[in-house]
Amino acid sequence: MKKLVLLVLCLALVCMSVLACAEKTTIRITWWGEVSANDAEMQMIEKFNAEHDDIEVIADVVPGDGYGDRLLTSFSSGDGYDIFASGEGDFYKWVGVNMPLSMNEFIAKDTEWVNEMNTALYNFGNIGGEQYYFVRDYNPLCLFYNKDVFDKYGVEYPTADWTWDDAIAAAKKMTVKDEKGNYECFGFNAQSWEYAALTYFTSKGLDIVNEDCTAVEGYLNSPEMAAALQEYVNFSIGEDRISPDAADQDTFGSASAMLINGKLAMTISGAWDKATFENSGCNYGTAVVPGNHANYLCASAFAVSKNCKNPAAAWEVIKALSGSECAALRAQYTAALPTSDALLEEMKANYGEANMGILESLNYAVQPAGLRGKIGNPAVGAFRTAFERLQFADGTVEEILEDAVAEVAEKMAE
Amino acid sequence: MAKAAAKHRADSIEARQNRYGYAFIMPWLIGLFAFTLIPMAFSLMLSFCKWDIVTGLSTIEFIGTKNYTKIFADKKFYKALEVTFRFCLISIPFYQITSLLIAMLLNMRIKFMRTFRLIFFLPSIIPTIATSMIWAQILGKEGLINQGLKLLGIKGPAWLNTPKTALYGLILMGVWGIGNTMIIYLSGLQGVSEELYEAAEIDGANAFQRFFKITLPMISMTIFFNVVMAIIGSFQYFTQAFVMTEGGPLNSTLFYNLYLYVKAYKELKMGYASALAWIMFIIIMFFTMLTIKSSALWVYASSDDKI
Repeated sequence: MKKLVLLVLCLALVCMSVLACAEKTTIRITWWGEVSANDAEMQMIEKFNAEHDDIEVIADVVPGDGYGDRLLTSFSSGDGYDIFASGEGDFYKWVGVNMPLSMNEFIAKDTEWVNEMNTALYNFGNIGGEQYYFVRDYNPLCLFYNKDVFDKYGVEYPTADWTWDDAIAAAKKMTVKDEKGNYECFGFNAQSWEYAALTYFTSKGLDIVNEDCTAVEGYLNSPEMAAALQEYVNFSIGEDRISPDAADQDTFGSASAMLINGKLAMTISGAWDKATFENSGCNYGTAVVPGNHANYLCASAFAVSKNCKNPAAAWEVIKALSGSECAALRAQYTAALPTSDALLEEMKANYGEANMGILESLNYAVQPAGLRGKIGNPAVGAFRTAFERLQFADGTVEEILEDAVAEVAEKMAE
Repeated sequence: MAKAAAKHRADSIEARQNRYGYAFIMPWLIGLFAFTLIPMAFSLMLSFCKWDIVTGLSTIEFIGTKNYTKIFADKKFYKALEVTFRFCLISIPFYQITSLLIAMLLNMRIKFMRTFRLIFFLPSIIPTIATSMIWAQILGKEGLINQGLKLLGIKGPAWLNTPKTALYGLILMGVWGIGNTMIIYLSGLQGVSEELYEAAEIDGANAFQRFFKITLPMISMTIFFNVVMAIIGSFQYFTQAFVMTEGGPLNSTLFYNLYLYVKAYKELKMGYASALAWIMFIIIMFFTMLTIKSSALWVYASSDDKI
């Protein structure tokens, strides 16, 4: 009799576990990068899985280079990831093909949810009134500099009242060649990466699109923009250049490597370089971008895919990954800045003097043109083409910018 | 009756053999249909449609010949064609002549010849990505080539960062991978009868005459094979440009297949990219057929080898 009862109990237990398993909703999530020992997202997912009997989150971390292709394959299969990460540059692209699901309905229904995210960052993920994206990581751009190089050439460190003229004058002093004419050091990195280049123009009060991001005419091709673009491109052209060109970087390495090795005095970059400089033992500093300090804010965010069969469960996961607990973990184990204002205030005390420029730059961060409206991405693309053409003197700056405006019009017509 | 039974038995043996034959080639047949013929038919259908790949098959929209008319008005299409044709025109003869010359050197009877053959063949088995990385350094501003030129008092360009030289840099790099072509030429050269050379020498033919009157005609079938393969391969050039230059600078290495890739996977225009693929298919088909047709004029083939 005892054996029979035990058997029935075991069977009941098995049936219950099978039923429980059957009811469990699986949410597949992906982002790019590498899983490190203390990965914030992984820790959060483990905790989430432990706390939720009805939802199981399965993470798939894809190396950066193959991420775009993996995402495409996943989407095209029609049964891919439930939640995916995207860089802000692709926000419009995915919305354009109806890939992310608007979470407005879930946000409205969820009366218990408290949004702890900084308002500006929260709005970053809002396109046309629909909340598609939830920022996980963000970076303002600021000026990184090598203090030893400044000391070597007797130049004062950058300050918040620097204009671009001050910065370029300092860069010229620190651009030095040896007796054979080989560059020993470059003063400034006038890189072709459009975010850094556009930060230069934005901090000079210029823009490639109008305020509500509906037009480029008179902005992308304005005489002021033409002059500034020509000046910026000239920084890295010819024998008297003050910035390394692409070929120099092939020789000396990336801008961060050059800065660490004392081959470069200043570059515009984001907080992702903080760990590189710290780990290398480089005597570096940060400052707000010269001029009016406006800089492009880079971000990555999570979104729920429209292929997700259980968006309610995905919403629970999104809340966990965009909440302040996960933000605190990210800040603790990576260079990421926390998305909540309260945590950011806490962080300021221990962020280190050398990194204060990063935090100060937050006050001047602006949304990249690609995020401000539909015309933004075509405008950035046309700017990229114009920049390259000017680098290789493929026309006058005025002609090239007129072509850029035409290119935007063509793209918009498509 | 016995005759009919024998015939029936023979038929059933033949049928059984056919079944076995089909069973043996079935994996290949399945592969051919699943991974070649059906995707080809699908891409042909897509070339008349608009589709972004991510939104599922239900969003495929038929738009007639719009993709083709757009392509013929697209400046970048012509740029990609120009780059690809320039590459083909220069690289095909350059690689064929170089690999034939090396094969002739490696066909000589000298000591350590097997080692030399190995050395010349080795680079071609290095993965393309690794080769590309090595050559990006070699072709750099301070790279090996420019260091060599410096010794001659010449200031070399940053090969891959200059629009005028980037394509030539890639062509130069291609010499690294001619091992396969060279081996085929070598086998062709080894198939030429020694008696022909001996007879020619007795008749007083010099080295040039022996090369043009004996070697070239006798290996013309090998040349034909290598040229056809080179035409197809050159029009499909992609990996090195994708890894090393991404089509730049200033679209100077925007190969046709790279442009197709950008349209398909960066801009998500699958219909447009499929139309581009079919145009390339027709171009390759045309030049391959042209080579085959022209072979009657320059390929020496015995009655067994008629093309």
